[in-house]
Amino acid sequence: MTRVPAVVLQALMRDVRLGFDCLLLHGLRSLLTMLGMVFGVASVIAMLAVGEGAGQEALEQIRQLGSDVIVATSVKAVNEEKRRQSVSMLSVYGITYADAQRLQQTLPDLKRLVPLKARREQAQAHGQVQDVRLVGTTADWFALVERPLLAGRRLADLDEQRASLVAVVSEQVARQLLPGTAVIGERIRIGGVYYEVVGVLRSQGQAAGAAKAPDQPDDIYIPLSTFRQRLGDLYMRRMAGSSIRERVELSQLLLQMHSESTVEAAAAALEGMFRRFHKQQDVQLHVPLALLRQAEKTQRTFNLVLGSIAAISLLVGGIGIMNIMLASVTERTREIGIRRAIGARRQEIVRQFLAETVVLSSCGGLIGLLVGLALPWAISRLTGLTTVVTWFSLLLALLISMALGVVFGLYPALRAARLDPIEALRYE
Amino acid sequence: MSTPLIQLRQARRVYHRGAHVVDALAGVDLTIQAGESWSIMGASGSGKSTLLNVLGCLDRLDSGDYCLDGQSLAALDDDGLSAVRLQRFGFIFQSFHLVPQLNVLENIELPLFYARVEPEQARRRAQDLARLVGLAERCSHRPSQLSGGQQQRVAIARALANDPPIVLADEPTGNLDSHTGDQIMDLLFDLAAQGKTLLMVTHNEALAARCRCRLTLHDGQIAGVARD
Ligand SMILES: Nc1ncnc2c1ncn2[C@@H]1O[C@H](COP(=O)(O)OP(=O)(O)O)[C@@H](O)[C@H]1O
Ligand SMILES: [Mg+2]
Repeated sequence: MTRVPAVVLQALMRDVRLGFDCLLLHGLRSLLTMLGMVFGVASVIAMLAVGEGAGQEALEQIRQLGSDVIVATSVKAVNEEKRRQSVSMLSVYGITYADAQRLQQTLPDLKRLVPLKARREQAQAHGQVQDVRLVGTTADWFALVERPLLAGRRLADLDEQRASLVAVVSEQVARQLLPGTAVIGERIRIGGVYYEVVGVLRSQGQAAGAAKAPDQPDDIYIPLSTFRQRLGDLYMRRMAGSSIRERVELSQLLLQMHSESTVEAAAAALEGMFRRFHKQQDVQLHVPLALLRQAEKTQRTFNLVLGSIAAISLLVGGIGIMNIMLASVTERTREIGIRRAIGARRQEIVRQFLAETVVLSSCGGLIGLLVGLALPWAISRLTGLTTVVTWFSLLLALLISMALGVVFGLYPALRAARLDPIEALRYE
Repeated sequence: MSTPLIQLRQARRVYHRGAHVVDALAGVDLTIQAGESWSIMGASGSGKSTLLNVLGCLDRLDSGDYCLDGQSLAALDDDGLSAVRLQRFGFIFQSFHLVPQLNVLENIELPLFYARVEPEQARRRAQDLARLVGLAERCSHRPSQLSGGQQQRVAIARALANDPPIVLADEPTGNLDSHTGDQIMDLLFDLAAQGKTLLMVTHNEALAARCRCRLTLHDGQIAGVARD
C-alpha cells in the first residue's frame, strides 16, 4: 500500500516525459500551438503588473499629501502674463487673505486651513549666502505636513500672534548655511532682518522624487504674520532689461477635511468660490484623492484592455491546444489501441493525454512568463506608468496555463479513452 | 475433471456492415484446458481474429457465454476486462504493434507499468525478457531501428511481461520470411512447452501440426477439431 504513491508518481513522470517527447517531435507545431497561451499568460502578468503599479503610485501620492487634503496654488493667469510683457507694470493675482477667511468661515467639514506665503529669497549667516524658499505659515502647517523634527521646536501659535523673528529650517539649509555650529539659536539674515533658528526639520520633498510634495529641501519657515510685516505682499526683482513687480497675498492654501467623503464636494465649492470672486483664473486646485481616482480609472482601462487580450488569447490558445491534441489522438489511434490491448484502463489513457496537454500548455505558460516579464517593462518605458510584477502574478499565470491544459485537454483525452481497442488497432 | 481454462458456449458475434449482417462468430462451442496448444485455421474472413479477440477480452460477445477459469466474464465492465487482459493474456499480432516512440525496454515494460510494478523491478524484469528473446544488445533501440523478426521478439517479450497463463498469437509470422518465422515459432512453442496455454492463428499446415489441438473455422462456425 505504501508503494502505491511511488508507482503513481512514476506513471505520471513517464506520462510527462512522453509529453515532452511529443512536444519535441513536433517542435514548430508545438511552438505555434503555444503562442496563444504565451500571449494570454503575458497579458495576465502585464495586467496585474500595471494594476499593482497604479495602486502603488496612487498610494505614494496619498502618502505625500493625504487623501483628505486639497491644495490651492496661486498661479499667474495667462492674460496677465501677456500684459506684464507689454508694459512693465504691477501684476496682481492669486489667493487673497479674504479668500482664506471666507473659506475658514464657510466651508463645512473643514478641519485645518493652512495659509502659505512662499518666495525665493537670499539667506545669509556667518558670511555664507544661500538661495532658499522662504515660507511664511502657521503652526498648522507642521500638524498637516508631518516631518520629523531633528532639533529644537516647530513654529507655535504664539510665534504667529507675536510675529516673532524665529525660523525653522530644513536639514539641508542647516547644513549649508550653518555648518559647524549648534544651528539652534544661530541667527539668519533675510532681507535685512535677523531670525533666530528655533528648529530643524527633515524635509521629504524631491527626495521622494515627487514634485507633488508640499515641502522642498531648501525651505525656511517663519510665522505668516512675521512674513507679512517684514516682507509684505509686494515682490520686486530686477531682471535683464525688465523688472518683475507682482502682488500676491497667499501663494498656497492647504485645506484638510475631516473626512475623505467631503473632499470632492469641498473641491467643487472651492472652484465655485474662486470663479465668483476672482476675475481671472489665477488659482489652481490639486486634489490627491482625485489623482487616486484617476489612477484607478487608468488601472481599470488597462485591466479591461489587457484582460480582454488575456481572455481572448487564453481562449484561442486553449482551443489551439485542444485542436492539436485532437490531431495527436487521431495520429496515435494505433498506439492507443496497443495500450488498451495490453491492459491499460481508460483512465490511464486519459491521464496520459492530459499530462501531455498540461506539459504543452505549461511550456506555453513558461514562455509567456518570460514575455510577461518584458511586457510591463515596455509599458513603463512607453507610457511612464509604474508597473510592479509580483510573485503572486507569476504563480497565478503558471497555474492558469496548467489549468487550461486540463480544461482543453480533457475532451481530446476522453475521446482517446473512448476509442474501441480493436478499431484503434486496425487504424492505419 | 478439473474446470476448463476457457469455455465458450453458443458464442455469437455479429457485425453490421450497412444493411448486411455478418456473423463473424455464429454459435461457437469451445473448451480449452490449461496448458494446451491450439492452432486456428480457416479461410480469410472465417472469424479467426474475431474468435481470438473475444477470447482475449478485446471484444464482447453479442450472445452466448464465455467462462474463464469457471468465471463468467459477462458481468465485467471495461476496467474489469482491461484487468483481465493485463494479467491473464499476452497478445502477439501479425504487425507487431509496438509503440513507435518507446524503445525496446520501454515497450517490454509497458504491461508492467500498467500493472503498477515498481520501477526498478520492472526494469530488471524487462531486461531479463529482452535477454530471453535474444535482444539484450538492442534495449535502447526504437522499433523503427529493428527488423521485423526483432520487432516480433519484442512483442513476445512484452506479451510475457506479466507472466500471463495464456498467449494469443494472430498470424504471428504473417509478415516475416519463413526462416525468421520459424525462429519466432520456436520461441512460441518453447513457451507452450513451459506450460503456457497457446492459441495461434496460422495458415501454415506444418506449424498447425506442431500444436496439440487444431481448430478449423468456416463462416464463423467450427468446421472441425482435431486432437493428438
Ligand atoms: N469491425 C468490423 N466491422 C464489420 N465487419 C467486420 C469487422 N471485423 C470483422 N468483420 C467481419 O467479420 C468476419 C470475420 O472477420 P475476421 O475475424 O477478421 O476474419 P479472419 O481473421 O478469419 O480473416 C469477416 O467477414 C469480416 O469482414
Ligand atoms: Mg484475421
